[in-house]
Amino acid sequence: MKIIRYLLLIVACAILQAGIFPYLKVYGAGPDLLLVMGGISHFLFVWPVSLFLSIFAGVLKDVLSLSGFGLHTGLFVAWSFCVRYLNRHIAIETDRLRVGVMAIILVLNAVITGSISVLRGTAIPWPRFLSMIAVQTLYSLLLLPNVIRFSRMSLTLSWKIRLPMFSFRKNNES
Amino acid sequence: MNLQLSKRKKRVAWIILIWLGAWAVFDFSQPLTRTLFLHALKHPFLLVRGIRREAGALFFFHHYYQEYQRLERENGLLQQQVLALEENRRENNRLRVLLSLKDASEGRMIASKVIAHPLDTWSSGIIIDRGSARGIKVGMPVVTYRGLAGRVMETVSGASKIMLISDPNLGVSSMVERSRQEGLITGTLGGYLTMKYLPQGADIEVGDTIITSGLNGKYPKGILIGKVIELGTEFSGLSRYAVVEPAVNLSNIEEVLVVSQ
Repeated sequence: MKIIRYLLLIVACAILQAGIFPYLKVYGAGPDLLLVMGGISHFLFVWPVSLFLSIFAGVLKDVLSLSGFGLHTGLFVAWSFCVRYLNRHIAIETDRLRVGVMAIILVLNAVITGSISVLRGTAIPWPRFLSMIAVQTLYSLLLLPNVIRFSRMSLTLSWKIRLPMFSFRKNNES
Repeated sequence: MNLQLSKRKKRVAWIILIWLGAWAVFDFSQPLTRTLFLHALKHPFLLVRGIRREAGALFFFHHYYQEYQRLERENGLLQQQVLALEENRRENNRLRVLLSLKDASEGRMIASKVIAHPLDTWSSGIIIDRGSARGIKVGMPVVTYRGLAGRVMETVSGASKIMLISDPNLGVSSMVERSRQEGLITGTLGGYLTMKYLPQGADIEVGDTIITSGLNGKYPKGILIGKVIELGTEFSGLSRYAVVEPAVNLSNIEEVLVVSQ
Protein backbone atom coordinates (compact mmCIF):
# COMPACT_ATOMS: atom_id res chain seq x y z
CA MET A 1 0.00 0.00 0.00
CA LYS A 2 2.83 2.37 0.91
CA ILE A 3 4.54 1.61 -2.40
CA ILE A 4 1.38 2.49 -4.34
CA ARG A 5 1.06 5.73 -2.37
CA TYR A 6 4.66 6.60 -3.15
CA LEU A 7 4.17 5.75 -6.86
CA LEU A 8 1.18 8.11 -6.91
CA LEU A 9 3.33 10.76 -5.23
CA ILE A 10 5.97 10.34 -7.95
CA VAL A 11 3.28 10.77 -10.63
CA ALA A 12 1.97 13.87 -8.83
CA CYS A 13 5.49 15.30 -8.72
CA ALA A 14 5.91 14.64 -12.46
CA ILE A 15 2.65 16.48 -13.15
CA LEU A 16 3.75 19.39 -10.95
CA GLN A 17 7.20 19.51 -12.52
CA ALA A 18 5.81 19.47 -16.07
CA GLY A 19 2.65 21.50 -15.53
CA ILE A 20 3.37 24.13 -12.87
CA PHE A 21 7.11 24.61 -12.34
CA PRO A 22 7.90 25.64 -15.97
CA TYR A 23 6.01 28.84 -15.09
CA LEU A 24 7.99 29.30 -11.86
CA LYS A 25 11.47 29.00 -13.33
CA VAL A 26 14.36 31.02 -11.96
CA TYR A 27 17.07 31.91 -14.53
CA GLY A 28 15.63 29.26 -16.86
CA ALA A 29 15.92 26.42 -14.34
CA GLY A 30 13.34 24.64 -12.25
CA PRO A 31 13.53 21.99 -9.51
CA ASP A 32 14.12 18.32 -10.32
CA LEU A 33 11.33 16.84 -8.22
CA LEU A 34 11.52 13.39 -9.82
CA LEU A 35 15.21 13.05 -8.92
CA VAL A 36 14.38 14.18 -5.39
CA MET A 37 11.61 11.57 -5.18
CA GLY A 38 13.88 8.88 -6.61
CA GLY A 39 16.65 9.88 -4.20
CA ILE A 40 14.65 10.07 -0.98
CA SER A 41 12.99 6.70 -1.70
CA HIS A 42 16.26 5.18 -0.39
CA PHE A 43 15.67 6.78 3.00
CA LEU A 44 12.03 5.67 3.17
CA PHE A 45 12.08 2.15 1.72
CA VAL A 46 14.33 -0.91 1.80
CA TRP A 47 16.80 -1.57 -1.03
CA PRO A 48 15.02 -3.47 -3.83
CA VAL A 49 11.84 -1.44 -3.38
CA SER A 50 13.73 1.87 -3.52
CA LEU A 51 15.50 0.70 -6.70
CA PHE A 52 12.14 -0.07 -8.30
CA LEU A 53 10.79 3.35 -7.27
CA SER A 54 13.90 5.05 -8.67
CA ILE A 55 13.47 3.20 -11.98
CA PHE A 56 9.82 4.28 -12.11
CA ALA A 57 10.79 7.93 -11.51
CA GLY A 58 13.53 7.64 -14.16
CA VAL A 59 11.20 6.12 -16.76
CA LEU A 60 8.64 8.85 -16.07
CA LYS A 61 11.33 11.52 -16.55
CA ASP A 62 12.48 9.87 -19.79
CA VAL A 63 8.91 9.73 -21.12
CA LEU A 64 8.46 13.45 -20.43
CA SER A 65 11.86 14.53 -21.78
CA LEU A 66 13.17 15.54 -25.17
CA SER A 67 16.57 13.88 -24.63
CA GLY A 68 17.34 10.28 -25.56
CA PHE A 69 15.20 7.60 -23.92
CA GLY A 70 16.94 5.77 -21.07
CA LEU A 71 19.37 8.49 -19.99
CA HIS A 72 17.51 9.46 -16.83
CA THR A 73 16.53 5.88 -15.95
CA GLY A 74 20.18 4.87 -16.23
CA LEU A 75 21.31 7.75 -14.05
CA PHE A 76 18.62 7.15 -11.43
CA VAL A 77 19.68 3.48 -11.18
CA ALA A 78 23.31 4.58 -10.84
CA TRP A 79 22.37 6.96 -7.97
CA SER A 80 20.49 4.08 -6.33
CA PHE A 81 23.60 1.92 -6.32
CA CYS A 82 25.71 4.85 -5.10
CA VAL A 83 23.40 5.55 -2.14
CA ARG A 84 23.32 1.85 -1.29
CA TYR A 85 27.14 1.71 -1.41
CA LEU A 86 27.39 4.84 0.75
CA ASN A 87 24.83 3.51 3.22
CA ARG A 88 26.96 0.40 3.72
CA HIS A 89 29.95 2.51 4.75
CA ILE A 90 28.31 5.47 6.48
CA ALA A 91 25.01 5.36 8.32
CA ILE A 92 22.91 8.00 6.53
CA GLU A 93 20.51 8.42 9.42
CA THR A 94 20.24 12.14 10.15
CA ASP A 95 18.25 14.52 7.96
CA ARG A 96 21.29 16.81 7.51
CA LEU A 97 23.32 13.95 6.09
CA ARG A 98 20.44 13.00 3.79
CA VAL A 99 20.19 16.56 2.49
CA GLY A 100 23.97 16.51 1.94
CA VAL A 101 23.78 13.27 -0.04
CA MET A 102 20.87 14.63 -2.09
CA ALA A 103 22.80 17.85 -2.79
CA ILE A 104 25.73 15.83 -4.18
CA ILE A 105 23.36 13.71 -6.31
CA LEU A 106 21.56 16.82 -7.63
CA VAL A 107 24.81 18.57 -8.59
CA LEU A 108 26.33 15.46 -10.22
CA ASN A 109 23.10 14.68 -12.09
CA ALA A 110 22.88 18.23 -13.46
CA VAL A 111 26.58 18.23 -14.44
CA ILE A 112 26.32 14.82 -16.18
CA THR A 113 23.11 15.58 -18.10
CA GLY A 114 24.42 19.03 -19.03
CA SER A 115 27.77 17.62 -20.19
CA ILE A 116 26.03 14.93 -22.27
CA SER A 117 23.91 17.64 -23.85
CA VAL A 118 27.03 19.71 -24.65
CA LEU A 119 28.86 16.65 -26.04
CA ARG A 120 25.87 15.96 -28.30
CA GLY A 121 26.39 19.39 -29.85
CA THR A 122 24.19 21.72 -27.81
CA ALA A 123 25.96 25.08 -27.64
CA ILE A 124 25.39 26.45 -24.13
CA PRO A 125 27.52 29.37 -22.95
CA TRP A 126 29.63 28.49 -19.84
CA PRO A 127 28.09 31.13 -17.53
CA ARG A 128 24.62 29.90 -18.42
CA PHE A 129 25.67 26.25 -17.97
CA LEU A 130 27.03 26.91 -14.47
CA SER A 131 24.20 29.18 -13.40
CA MET A 132 21.60 26.62 -14.48
CA ILE A 133 23.34 23.86 -12.49
CA ALA A 134 23.54 26.10 -9.41
CA VAL A 135 19.95 27.33 -9.65
CA GLN A 136 18.49 23.88 -10.31
CA THR A 137 20.35 22.38 -7.36
CA LEU A 138 19.46 25.19 -4.97
CA TYR A 139 15.82 25.22 -6.10
CA SER A 140 15.53 21.45 -5.59
CA LEU A 141 17.26 21.65 -2.20
CA LEU A 142 14.91 24.42 -1.14
CA LEU A 143 11.94 22.16 -1.83
CA LEU A 144 13.61 19.00 -0.47
CA PRO A 145 12.58 19.35 3.24
CA ASN A 146 8.96 19.92 2.23
CA VAL A 147 9.01 16.99 -0.20
CA ILE A 148 10.45 14.72 2.53
CA ARG A 149 7.90 15.98 5.07
CA PHE A 150 4.99 15.55 2.65
CA SER A 151 6.18 12.08 1.58
CA ARG A 152 6.48 10.90 5.20
CA MET A 153 3.10 12.41 6.03
CA SER A 154 1.34 10.75 3.10
CA LEU A 155 3.01 7.41 3.80
CA THR A 156 1.85 7.41 7.41
CA LEU A 157 -1.57 8.93 6.66
CA SER A 158 -4.48 6.83 7.86
CA TRP A 159 -7.58 6.56 5.70
CA LYS A 160 -9.81 6.29 8.79
CA ILE A 161 -10.80 9.84 9.55
CA ARG A 162 -12.04 10.38 13.08
CA LEU A 163 -14.47 13.22 13.46
CA PRO A 164 -13.91 15.32 16.62
CA MET A 165 -17.65 15.22 17.39
CA PHE A 166 -17.60 11.44 17.84
CA SER A 167 -14.45 11.45 19.90
CA PHE A 168 -16.04 14.07 22.19
CA ARG A 169 -19.06 11.83 22.74
CA LYS A 170 -16.82 8.91 23.43
CA ASN A 171 -14.93 10.92 26.02
CA ASN A 172 -18.15 11.94 27.72
CA GLU A 173 -19.37 8.37 27.85
CA SER A 174 -16.18 7.28 29.48
CA MET B 1 42.12 -18.14 -4.68
CA ASN B 2 41.38 -19.40 -8.21
CA LEU B 3 37.92 -20.50 -7.12
CA GLN B 4 37.20 -17.02 -5.70
CA LEU B 5 38.41 -15.37 -8.90
CA SER B 6 36.23 -17.56 -11.12
CA LYS B 7 33.25 -16.88 -8.82
CA ARG B 8 33.83 -13.16 -9.16
CA LYS B 9 34.15 -13.47 -12.95
CA LYS B 10 30.90 -15.39 -13.09
CA ARG B 11 29.20 -12.76 -10.97
CA VAL B 12 30.42 -9.92 -13.20
CA ALA B 13 29.34 -11.87 -16.29
CA TRP B 14 25.88 -12.36 -14.80
CA ILE B 15 25.56 -8.67 -13.94
CA ILE B 16 26.57 -7.69 -17.50
CA LEU B 17 24.13 -10.21 -18.97
CA ILE B 18 21.24 -9.00 -16.78
CA TRP B 19 22.11 -5.37 -17.56
CA LEU B 20 22.18 -6.04 -21.33
CA GLY B 21 18.91 -7.96 -21.11
CA ALA B 22 17.24 -5.19 -19.13
CA TRP B 23 18.53 -2.63 -21.62
CA ALA B 24 17.19 -4.64 -24.59
CA VAL B 25 13.75 -5.03 -22.95
CA PHE B 26 13.76 -1.33 -22.05
CA ASP B 27 14.68 -0.25 -25.58
CA PHE B 28 12.15 -2.63 -27.15
CA SER B 29 9.31 -1.40 -24.92
CA GLN B 30 10.17 2.28 -25.47
CA PRO B 31 7.30 3.22 -27.87
CA LEU B 32 4.76 1.34 -25.75
CA THR B 33 6.00 2.97 -22.52
CA ARG B 34 5.84 6.43 -24.05
CA THR B 35 2.33 5.92 -25.45
CA LEU B 36 1.05 4.43 -22.18
CA PHE B 37 2.47 7.12 -19.91
CA LEU B 38 1.60 10.05 -22.17
CA HIS B 39 -1.98 8.77 -22.56
CA ALA B 40 -2.35 8.25 -18.83
CA LEU B 41 -0.91 11.67 -17.96
CA LYS B 42 -2.75 13.67 -20.62
CA HIS B 43 -5.91 14.22 -18.59
CA PRO B 44 -4.17 15.15 -15.30
CA PHE B 45 -2.06 17.61 -17.31
CA LEU B 46 -5.21 19.14 -18.82
CA LEU B 47 -6.71 19.41 -15.31
CA VAL B 48 -3.60 21.13 -13.92
CA ARG B 49 -3.58 23.45 -16.95
CA GLY B 50 -7.20 24.42 -16.26
CA ILE B 51 -6.52 25.07 -12.57
CA ARG B 52 -3.43 27.13 -13.38
CA ARG B 53 -5.35 29.22 -15.92
CA GLU B 54 -8.24 29.88 -13.56
CA ALA B 55 -5.88 30.78 -10.71
CA GLY B 56 -3.99 33.11 -13.05
CA ALA B 57 -7.25 34.72 -14.19
CA LEU B 58 -8.24 35.44 -10.59
CA PHE B 59 -4.79 36.63 -9.60
CA PHE B 60 -4.24 38.92 -12.60
CA PHE B 61 -7.87 40.03 -13.00
CA HIS B 62 -7.10 43.77 -13.20
CA HIS B 63 -4.24 43.28 -15.67
CA TYR B 64 -6.42 41.08 -17.91
CA TYR B 65 -9.29 43.60 -17.79
CA GLN B 66 -7.00 46.41 -18.98
CA GLU B 67 -5.57 44.12 -21.64
CA TYR B 68 -9.11 43.23 -22.79
CA GLN B 69 -10.02 46.90 -23.22
CA ARG B 70 -6.82 47.58 -25.20
CA LEU B 71 -7.43 44.54 -27.42
CA GLU B 72 -11.02 45.58 -28.06
CA ARG B 73 -9.79 48.92 -29.42
CA GLU B 74 -7.11 47.16 -31.47
CA ASN B 75 -9.68 44.68 -32.79
CA GLY B 76 -11.78 47.49 -34.25
CA LEU B 77 -8.78 48.85 -36.14
CA LEU B 78 -7.71 45.40 -37.32
CA GLN B 79 -11.17 44.56 -38.65
CA GLN B 80 -10.92 47.55 -40.98
CA GLN B 81 -7.48 46.40 -42.12
CA VAL B 82 -8.75 42.84 -42.68
CA LEU B 83 -11.44 44.13 -45.02
CA ALA B 84 -8.84 46.02 -47.04
CA LEU B 85 -6.52 42.99 -47.11
CA GLU B 86 -9.35 40.70 -48.17
CA GLU B 87 -9.84 42.88 -51.21
CA ASN B 88 -6.12 42.67 -51.95
CA ARG B 89 -6.18 38.86 -51.57
CA ARG B 90 -9.02 38.50 -54.04
CA GLU B 91 -7.19 40.72 -56.51
CA ASN B 92 -4.01 38.69 -55.93
CA ASN B 93 -5.85 35.42 -56.62
CA ARG B 94 -7.30 36.78 -59.84
CA LEU B 95 -3.83 37.88 -60.98
CA ARG B 96 -2.33 34.47 -60.02
CA VAL B 97 -4.88 32.70 -62.17
CA LEU B 98 -4.10 35.08 -64.98
CA LEU B 99 -0.38 34.41 -64.63
CA SER B 100 -0.98 30.60 -64.29
CA LEU B 101 1.17 30.49 -61.19
CA LYS B 102 1.10 27.48 -58.91
CA ASP B 103 -1.24 28.21 -56.02
CA ALA B 104 0.85 28.49 -52.93
CA SER B 105 -2.07 27.73 -50.66
CA GLU B 106 -1.71 27.89 -46.88
CA GLY B 107 -1.03 24.61 -45.13
CA ARG B 108 -3.68 22.84 -43.08
CA MET B 109 -3.38 23.91 -39.46
CA ILE B 110 -4.07 21.67 -36.47
CA ALA B 111 -4.89 23.69 -33.38
CA SER B 112 -3.57 22.21 -30.12
CA LYS B 113 -3.36 23.10 -26.45
CA VAL B 114 -0.08 23.10 -24.56
CA ILE B 115 -0.54 20.62 -21.69
CA ALA B 116 2.96 20.39 -20.21
CA HIS B 117 6.65 21.11 -20.63
CA PRO B 118 9.37 18.46 -20.98
CA LEU B 119 11.30 17.77 -17.80
CA ASP B 120 14.90 18.06 -18.98
CA THR B 121 16.76 21.24 -18.10
CA TRP B 122 19.02 21.29 -21.16
CA SER B 123 16.37 21.55 -23.83
CA SER B 124 13.38 23.74 -24.49
CA GLY B 125 10.07 22.29 -25.52
CA ILE B 126 6.36 21.77 -24.94
CA ILE B 127 3.93 18.84 -24.95
CA ILE B 128 0.65 19.31 -26.84
CA ASP B 129 -2.65 17.43 -26.65
CA ARG B 130 -2.83 16.36 -30.32
CA GLY B 131 -0.86 13.52 -31.87
CA SER B 132 -0.57 11.16 -34.80
CA ALA B 133 -4.31 10.37 -34.59
CA ARG B 134 -4.95 13.93 -35.82
CA GLY B 135 -2.37 13.69 -38.59
CA ILE B 136 0.59 15.21 -36.78
CA LYS B 137 3.94 13.83 -37.95
CA VAL B 138 7.54 14.26 -36.83
CA GLY B 139 9.21 17.28 -38.45
CA MET B 140 6.08 19.41 -38.94
CA PRO B 141 6.56 23.14 -38.17
CA VAL B 142 4.67 24.61 -35.23
CA VAL B 143 3.49 28.23 -35.15
CA THR B 144 1.37 30.53 -33.02
CA TYR B 145 -0.60 33.52 -34.26
CA ARG B 146 2.51 35.63 -33.57
CA GLY B 147 5.09 33.56 -35.45
CA LEU B 148 7.28 30.47 -35.52
CA ALA B 149 7.35 28.40 -32.31
CA GLY B 150 9.21 25.18 -33.14
CA ARG B 151 9.05 21.74 -34.66
CA VAL B 152 7.44 18.35 -33.85
CA MET B 153 10.05 15.96 -32.43
CA GLU B 154 7.98 13.00 -31.24
CA THR B 155 4.37 12.00 -31.58
CA VAL B 156 2.10 9.32 -30.13
CA SER B 157 -1.61 8.98 -30.93
CA GLY B 158 -2.84 11.52 -28.37
CA ALA B 159 0.10 13.82 -27.69
CA SER B 160 3.22 15.27 -29.30
CA LYS B 161 6.49 16.76 -28.11
CA ILE B 162 7.60 20.01 -29.71
CA MET B 163 11.14 21.39 -29.68
CA LEU B 164 10.96 25.17 -29.39
CA ILE B 165 13.16 27.54 -31.39
CA SER B 166 14.84 28.56 -28.12
CA ASP B 167 16.45 25.09 -27.97
CA PRO B 168 20.11 25.20 -29.08
CA ASN B 169 19.63 21.91 -30.99
CA LEU B 170 17.12 23.43 -33.42
CA GLY B 171 18.43 25.39 -36.39
CA VAL B 172 16.09 27.40 -38.61
CA SER B 173 17.26 28.80 -41.93
CA SER B 174 16.17 32.41 -41.89
CA MET B 175 16.61 35.76 -43.58
CA VAL B 176 16.29 39.48 -42.97
CA GLU B 177 12.96 40.59 -44.40
CA ARG B 178 14.32 43.95 -45.63
CA SER B 179 17.62 42.93 -47.26
CA ARG B 180 17.03 39.15 -47.82
CA GLN B 181 20.33 38.45 -46.01
CA GLU B 182 20.34 34.77 -44.99
CA GLY B 183 21.53 33.20 -41.74
CA LEU B 184 20.81 30.42 -39.26
CA ILE B 185 18.67 30.97 -36.19
CA THR B 186 19.48 28.88 -33.11
CA GLY B 187 18.31 29.03 -29.51
CA THR B 188 20.31 29.80 -26.38
CA LEU B 189 17.97 28.22 -23.77
CA GLY B 190 17.27 31.78 -22.67
CA GLY B 191 14.82 34.42 -23.81
CA TYR B 192 16.71 35.36 -26.99
CA LEU B 193 17.77 33.64 -30.22
CA THR B 194 21.02 33.99 -32.19
CA MET B 195 21.28 34.47 -35.94
CA LYS B 196 24.64 33.00 -36.97
CA TYR B 197 26.86 32.78 -40.07
CA LEU B 198 26.36 36.37 -41.20
CA PRO B 199 29.25 37.64 -43.37
CA GLN B 200 31.19 40.74 -42.25
CA GLY B 201 29.46 42.94 -44.82
CA ALA B 202 25.96 41.60 -44.11
CA ASP B 203 23.14 44.08 -44.62
CA ILE B 204 21.48 43.79 -41.23
CA GLU B 205 20.52 46.44 -38.67
CA VAL B 206 19.03 46.61 -35.20
CA GLY B 207 15.24 46.54 -35.54
CA ASP B 208 15.22 44.37 -38.69
CA THR B 209 12.53 41.70 -38.92
CA ILE B 210 13.69 38.09 -39.29
CA ILE B 211 11.56 35.56 -41.17
CA THR B 212 12.00 31.93 -42.28
CA SER B 213 13.78 31.61 -45.62
CA GLY B 214 12.19 28.27 -46.57
CA LEU B 215 15.61 27.21 -47.87
CA ASN B 216 15.74 23.58 -46.69
CA GLY B 217 12.01 23.00 -47.07
CA LYS B 218 11.48 22.24 -43.38
CA TYR B 219 9.63 25.49 -42.69
CA PRO B 220 7.36 27.43 -45.03
CA LYS B 221 8.88 30.67 -46.28
CA GLY B 222 7.94 33.97 -44.64
CA ILE B 223 6.97 32.93 -41.11
CA LEU B 224 7.86 35.66 -38.61
CA ILE B 225 10.66 34.70 -36.18
CA GLY B 226 11.52 37.95 -34.41
CA LYS B 227 13.35 41.28 -34.40
CA VAL B 228 17.09 42.04 -34.23
CA ILE B 229 18.00 43.74 -30.94
CA GLU B 230 21.80 43.51 -30.98
CA LEU B 231 24.64 42.90 -33.44
CA GLY B 232 28.08 41.49 -32.74
CA THR B 233 31.18 39.87 -34.23
CA GLU B 234 32.04 36.20 -33.61
CA PHE B 235 35.10 35.43 -31.46
CA SER B 236 37.02 34.27 -34.57
CA GLY B 237 36.36 37.64 -36.24
CA LEU B 238 35.32 35.91 -39.47
CA SER B 239 31.58 36.39 -39.23
CA ARG B 240 28.92 38.37 -37.39
CA TYR B 241 25.92 37.34 -35.34
CA ALA B 242 22.65 38.98 -34.41
CA VAL B 243 20.70 38.62 -31.17
CA VAL B 244 17.03 38.20 -32.04
CA GLU B 245 14.06 38.72 -29.75
CA PRO B 246 11.47 36.05 -30.69
CA ALA B 247 8.04 37.25 -31.78
CA VAL B 248 6.44 34.43 -29.77
CA ASN B 249 6.61 34.55 -25.98
CA LEU B 250 8.19 31.11 -25.72
CA SER B 251 7.99 30.88 -21.94
CA ASN B 252 4.22 31.22 -21.88
CA ILE B 253 2.63 29.47 -24.87
CA GLU B 254 -0.94 28.28 -24.33
CA GLU B 255 -2.09 27.25 -27.83
CA VAL B 256 -0.19 26.36 -30.99
CA LEU B 257 -0.93 25.50 -34.61
CA VAL B 258 0.81 22.57 -36.28
CA VAL B 259 1.31 23.19 -40.01
CA SER B 260 0.53 19.83 -41.54
CA GLN B 261 1.10 20.55 -45.23
